[in-house]
Amino acid sequence: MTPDAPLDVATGSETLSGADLQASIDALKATAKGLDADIAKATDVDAVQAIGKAQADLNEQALDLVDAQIDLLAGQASVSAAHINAAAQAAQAAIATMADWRKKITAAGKLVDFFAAVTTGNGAQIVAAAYALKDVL
Amino acid sequence: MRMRLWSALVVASMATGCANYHAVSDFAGETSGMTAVVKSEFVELDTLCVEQVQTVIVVNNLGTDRALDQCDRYRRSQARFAAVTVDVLDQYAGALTGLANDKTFDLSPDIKAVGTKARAFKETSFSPPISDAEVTAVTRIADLLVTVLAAEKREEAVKQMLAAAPDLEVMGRSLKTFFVGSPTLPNIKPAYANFIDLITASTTSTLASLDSKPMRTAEPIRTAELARDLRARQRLLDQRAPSAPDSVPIKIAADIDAWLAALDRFKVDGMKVDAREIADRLQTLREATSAAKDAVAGH
Repeated sequence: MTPDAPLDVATGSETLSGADLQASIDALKATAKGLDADIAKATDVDAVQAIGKAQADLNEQALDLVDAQIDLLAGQASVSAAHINAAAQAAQAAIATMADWRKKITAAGKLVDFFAAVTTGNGAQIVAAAYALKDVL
Repeated sequence: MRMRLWSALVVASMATGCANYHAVSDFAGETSGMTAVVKSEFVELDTLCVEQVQTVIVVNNLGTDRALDQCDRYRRSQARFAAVTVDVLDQYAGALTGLANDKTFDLSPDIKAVGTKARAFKETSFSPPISDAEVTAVTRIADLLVTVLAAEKREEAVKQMLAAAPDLEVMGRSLKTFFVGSPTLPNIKPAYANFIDLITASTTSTLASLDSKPMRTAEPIRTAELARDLRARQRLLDQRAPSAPDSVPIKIAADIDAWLAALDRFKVDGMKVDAREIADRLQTLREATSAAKDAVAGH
């Protein structure tokens, strides 16, 4: 979610719910699942555990979204569920095409960071995290 | 002749709105049976979450138990609202049993706080959304139980419990939505299905780690033990897969449907004249009359 056009400013009444973010939940889950193939190819325990930790973080973030209710902070960018879902799906698709598992788990970490920003409801932080995510895709 | 007159008076009084305690007792049993099933499944969900996260912590050498917090967070949100709903229904069943047997009953000390709790869940949980009707229903039933506990007239208390049927129906449907979703919210995945999907995804990934060559080489015995436990957990999760036709959530939904049908019967039968009830009352009346006669006669 790196907007081409400036986003509206949140008024304080906008809310993002878990139900609106189902596509993001599915994208996080699919990204974690996609790393199973990298585990099968891993050559040492440290690599298996690093990938496993990334999967655990992605699944934990997805579970947290299920019941999320995020109030967007007034005066900050008004980020919609469609923006967030699009970002999550784009990240999932990009990570799936990466060849190096290290790059994958770095990008997975940024994806988790992005959702950590989403849960704050702070539009500026969400947009900044989206740019940080885009940088590693 | 005098006894016939007494009988006619008793029957006439019953036909004008006396409680059918057999129906009350039957519905109490049906309610506690349904809530026992749901409560048992909540315990299973907690266990599945905690055991899976513990395995993730060990396999990935996370070095902290922080990941276990996600099970607590989940428990406090949507699942917790369903748990409050089922707790209140359970106490409703206990109150009905007490009324049916003309015995006092106990309420949980925190029953008075249910309304506050329910409103707090509405503020923090949203998938699927908790409606005002659901919050109101849970709150009203909890308040009713407190009122009924203090009621002096047993039949009046049963009438009040019966009048709460619409709220009970809302609560039953709310519980069902947690497990299988609602036809009125077709695009919202049930909270239960999301939870089972994510725990299943986690077990599959952890099993991939345990089956990897580096892990099997480094810790052959421990990985085999953990993989065996995970496969057992996967079987439990497979039984809960939302898509399976005879899965646990489908069976629980059917049980809730059966309870809703029992609620419909209770609405009709709860204050209906019951031959067994009349016979019991007449017997009580005869015994009381006989005792009174004996007392008057000085026997």
